[in-house]
Amino acid sequence: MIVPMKHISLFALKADERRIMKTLQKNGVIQIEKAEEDESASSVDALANAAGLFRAGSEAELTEKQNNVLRIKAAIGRLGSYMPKPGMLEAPPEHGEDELIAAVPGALAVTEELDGLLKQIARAKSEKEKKLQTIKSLTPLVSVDIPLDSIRSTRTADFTLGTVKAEKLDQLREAGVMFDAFGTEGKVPVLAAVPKADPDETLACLRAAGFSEAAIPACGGVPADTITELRSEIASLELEYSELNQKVAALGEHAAELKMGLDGAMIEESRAKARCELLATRETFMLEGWVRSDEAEKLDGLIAADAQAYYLEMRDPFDEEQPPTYCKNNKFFAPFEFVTNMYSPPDPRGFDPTAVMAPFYLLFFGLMMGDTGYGLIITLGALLMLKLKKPKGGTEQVCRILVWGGVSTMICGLLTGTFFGMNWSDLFGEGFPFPLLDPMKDQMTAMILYCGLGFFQIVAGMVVSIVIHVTRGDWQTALFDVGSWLMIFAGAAAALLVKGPVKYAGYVLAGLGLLLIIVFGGRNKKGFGRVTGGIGKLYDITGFFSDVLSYARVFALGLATGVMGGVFNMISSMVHGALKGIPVVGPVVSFVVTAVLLALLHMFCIAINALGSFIHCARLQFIEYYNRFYTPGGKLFKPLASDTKYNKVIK
Amino acid sequence: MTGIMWAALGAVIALVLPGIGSSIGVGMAGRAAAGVIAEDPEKSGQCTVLQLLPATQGIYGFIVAFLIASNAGLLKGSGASDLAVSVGRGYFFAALPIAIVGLVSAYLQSRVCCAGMNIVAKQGEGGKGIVLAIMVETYAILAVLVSVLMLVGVK
Repeated sequence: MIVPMKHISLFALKADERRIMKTLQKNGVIQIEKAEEDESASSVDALANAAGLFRAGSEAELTEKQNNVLRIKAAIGRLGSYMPKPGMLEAPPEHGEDELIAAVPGALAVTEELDGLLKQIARAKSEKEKKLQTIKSLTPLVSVDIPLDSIRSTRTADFTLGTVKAEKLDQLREAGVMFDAFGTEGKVPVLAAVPKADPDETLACLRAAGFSEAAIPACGGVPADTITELRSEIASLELEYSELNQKVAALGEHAAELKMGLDGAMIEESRAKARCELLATRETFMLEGWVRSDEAEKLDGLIAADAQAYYLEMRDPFDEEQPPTYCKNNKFFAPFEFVTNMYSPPDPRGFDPTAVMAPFYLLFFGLMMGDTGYGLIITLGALLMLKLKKPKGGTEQVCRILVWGGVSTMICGLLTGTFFGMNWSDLFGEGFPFPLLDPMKDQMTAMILYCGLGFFQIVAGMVVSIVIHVTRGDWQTALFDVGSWLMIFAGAAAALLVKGPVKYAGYVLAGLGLLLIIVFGGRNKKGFGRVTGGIGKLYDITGFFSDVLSYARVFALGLATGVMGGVFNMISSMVHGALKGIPVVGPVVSFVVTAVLLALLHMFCIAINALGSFIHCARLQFIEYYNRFYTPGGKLFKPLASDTKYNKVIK
Repeated sequence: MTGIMWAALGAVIALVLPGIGSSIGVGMAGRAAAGVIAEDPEKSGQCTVLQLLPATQGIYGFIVAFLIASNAGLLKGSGASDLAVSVGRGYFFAALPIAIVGLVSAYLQSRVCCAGMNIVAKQGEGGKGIVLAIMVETYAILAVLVSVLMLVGVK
């Protein structure tokens, strides 16, 4: 059932604003819309400034809160590998909203500390890089036994330090270059004197000998000593680096604090965002938004408790307004809203299809899975998940659907399916009455059964459509566009299946339906279209055919599950047979290996078939069923609330 | 060709063609998934589901291949040499639907999966992309249905 929305405008004192907003967020009762002074949004700010109006929240505050969220999120991401991993089936911790918000400064402090450590790590890293670079440039000069900073130009000569291959030293000597060589093998460091008066000749000789000038690092000193010194400095840097990393890892202990802080920051962010939607004067503020009509009184009570003085105006939405959609269903049906919302939430003025869809969804899901053993696993798995993990939102809804989907699968498995891929007759002998219908043997019966069920769902959809149109007073659509087809179907069924006078009544009824379509089908068209429109409507019959045939997928998916499970059993039994022959350990090994193999293969089979069934089943609802009566296009009611990521908020 | 050769050929194409399609499909989707996960490792769950969707055709092919091999007596090692040619041919033709449709639909489904990764990357939500991709699978399921029904009916 769709709960109608009320539009609210609240005027209250600015002094109470923070308290009121906090209460509203805690209770999650209103969806705040941007309060506008005027219809044209662009002129509002200009107008607002002139009239002394402004937004209650400041952009600066919002930016700060957004930054908090981003920073804590980044810290959690950086520390992820050092944090204790929550178990697969562990429920999120529960905290009060104030507790979460109180954790924000602590989390920011941890973030700050982490940022500091990361900066130090980066510095240590780059220093180490620099020192390594220096060592690399000093390495060729390691045999130079004089301090590098003692090399200075004299009055008549400059000195250049570089390396030359040992065998070229003689060539240099012959050329008359004055130099000092440090060593005799390989690339030899050479300190050459270049006369200031005529450097070119000496330089040319050096070049000819393949002299490559060394880049002398700024450090000075004897190269070998410098390298030793640098090495020890690097070692201490590495120590520092690993200490810093340990400190970072130690911050992982603050996981719970950070996660609470993030949730608190998220709560603050959404509140700050909402405050930017409010219009305010110096002393008052105005809030506009939507509230569920069944919570209107509660809202009034909440505000009355918090405000010294206020004015609250509630009204039904105007025709041109698009209120958000909120559906209310009982505990059994509510999870199925997830399926509808996957397509589109209903139009706020339309009809909530959840209750008329859920039974069909369960039926077809069960038929598509069609294995009692798998149904058992699905139900138990979903129950376990709900009990231990306590998921919220979409995951919770899917789990709740699967609990009942599993039950339906168990029943359908007994009627038309298998048990963990095994035939019932193989388990309990030929006399066992189940399955009532074996789709592998009676293919035509199965096909007719599934398409028949599909036809039944389509007719149900048409009946729903008639009810909707009649309650709206649109009896023309109900009778001419939908009822007429039902008359044809009912008449044709009577004419084909029943004998005697009823047969002729059937002909009459079908003929009447046909006549209604031809005469009134084009009633909204003008001129010639009125005539052709009605005949054109008869083409809809092809749509019925293709929709009914679409239910053949139920057959295919159901068969695929059973056959896949059966093949996995065959494979496992072959493995068992092969391993049993091993002497002594054979029985144990074959048992263990086969058990593990069976478990894995069947889990896999359940996973891919459940995914396929879930979606194909949803598709049958969307295309074949909703087509008949459903008005999509709503936007979900999203009240200002304490939405969190890691913790569950207790009220 | 003898009956057993026809049956073996059927089992081989039922396995190989959809296997090729699925490995191409999973490969393409895997590349797209890596791109999304590189930006945001939190999305790896949804991306993995999307990547795995084109894998089912290969499994359907494997199942049909296995059923053919088992029915034709290829698995017992004795090689049922007395398999009638008409029966062997029956198995071969039963393999064709899943072999051909599996190959093509795995490839085309993978392209929808890759597009679906864009939805995950931009909206952070994979459900809609999975729905789109599963639609392509319909035809592989119908093909495996026909293949299995045909090979059960071969006499």
